[in-house]
Amino acid sequence: MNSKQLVLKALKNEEVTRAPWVPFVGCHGANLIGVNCEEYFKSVDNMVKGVTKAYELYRPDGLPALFDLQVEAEAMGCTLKYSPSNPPAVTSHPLEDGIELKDLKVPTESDGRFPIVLEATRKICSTLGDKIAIYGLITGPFTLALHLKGTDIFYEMMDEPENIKELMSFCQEVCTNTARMYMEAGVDVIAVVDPMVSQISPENFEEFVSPYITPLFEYIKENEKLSSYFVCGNATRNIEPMCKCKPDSISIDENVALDFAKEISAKYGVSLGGNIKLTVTMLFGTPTDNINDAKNCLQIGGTKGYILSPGCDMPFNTPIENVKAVASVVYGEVSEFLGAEGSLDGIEVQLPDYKNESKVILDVITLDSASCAPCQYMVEAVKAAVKGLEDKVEWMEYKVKEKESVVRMIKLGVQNIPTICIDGEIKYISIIPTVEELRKSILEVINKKGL
Amino acid sequence: MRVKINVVMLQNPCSACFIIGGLVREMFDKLQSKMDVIDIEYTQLENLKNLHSIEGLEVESFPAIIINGEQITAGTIPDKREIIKRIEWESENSEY
Repeated sequence: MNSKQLVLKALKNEEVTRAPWVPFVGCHGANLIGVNCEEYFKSVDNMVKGVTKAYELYRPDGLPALFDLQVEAEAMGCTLKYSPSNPPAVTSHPLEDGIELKDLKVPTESDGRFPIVLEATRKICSTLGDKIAIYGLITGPFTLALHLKGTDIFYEMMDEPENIKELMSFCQEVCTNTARMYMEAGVDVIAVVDPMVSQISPENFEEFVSPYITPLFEYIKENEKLSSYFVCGNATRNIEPMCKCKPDSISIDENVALDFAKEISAKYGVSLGGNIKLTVTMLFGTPTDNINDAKNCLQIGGTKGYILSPGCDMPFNTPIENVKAVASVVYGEVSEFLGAEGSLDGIEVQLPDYKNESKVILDVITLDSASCAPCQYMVEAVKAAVKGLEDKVEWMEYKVKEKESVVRMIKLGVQNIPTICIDGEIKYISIIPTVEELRKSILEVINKKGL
Repeated sequence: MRVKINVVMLQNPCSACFIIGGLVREMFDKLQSKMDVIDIEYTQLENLKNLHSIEGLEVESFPAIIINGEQITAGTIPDKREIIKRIEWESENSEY
């Protein structure tokens, strides 16, 4: 089974030999080939080069042809502001500026940047499409409606709901036509990217989004292509309504708990993608953070109906080594980053006899609190929690960059960083406790020991 | 009394935060032309390590709107009418 088949099977919610890996390379592609985002998003050659480079570096099973949620809006008259290291931003909304809905037209192959985008997609599909799954990303109907109408949409949902339903119906037409254009260009998957649904309630979702997006997924299915419904931001409350719209898959970011989304999507037979943390892990983390995050995701996602991916469009400046680290987890080569197997031989670490020690001992296992934000927060929580208890509590940070710390970590049974162990017992894994909560846990052990 | 508004955004946001950030900026640009009591600052965070230096930032979800040192939103599109009311109240009552 090749990479492409792996993705397609996973999207169909089938069991696969390993979870496929789809890094969402959008504006990051510009960085990979040394151009700015404006040069990237306006050039067929640059988009093709960026995606090809991502294919060579990251060994993905699937890639988006482009990640730009402003293409449709621009083709319908929204003004865009281009920036060097982000996708373009919509800065004007035609329906707010006096233009009427009846005057807007559904964009076609010749409007806005569509000629460039579709040409790039065709080229990418012809060079990579037999090896990996190519995703065509379209702007979801609610996000598109917001681009066209501006924030007044939220007031009109309450005051003039029929106007918004008319607008959503128009946006559905745009989405359907854009999906058609991408499918004809050769993509395997249509991803409907609708991040703004994170801003509305499930009731509003069911009234203003479901009726317009469900037929879109049906249309994609009728054309024998697969669909995915992408959301980012905290869309936890809308995960179930999203699944009810019957996409083949949903994809979430770190604002939604992966295990929660897994449970809900499984209930509806919908596959799931996500959710390596974009900022904390991919952008600011180290390769080790990325390895751990990917491992956690894979553990929760499993090998049935799950695709490992970042939470959303990868930031422009995402370090290449971080993405490669994720690929290494996918292909079972993690030792390359953590030291070759056997490199810990001969390193002796003696754990304290915790029960009989005259103090409560906190082992804080981190990557390095000087360079890893969650580790820093955890260490700060420990420092604050032990204040005034110094005669009864001893704590130490163990950085897994040091081999001795890795041995200690293994002996304690710690599998994730950062972790706090109290008297040898794993107490907080990756979650940073509040100072009060941590202090309470420490005091319980102090009392138990009679100190 | 003048009202100090700080809009905190990530330099490399996700798609949702990026669009919300644009809408928030647009909203305050319009408000600024109508309400001369406000001083708006846009803080772009390059790294999450810098969070502690921002006065009033409590919930680390972006864009975050801080009015006179108190965080009003975190990662959501604010209700413009509520923001206007808050600015008016702060302008009349706050000793910030």
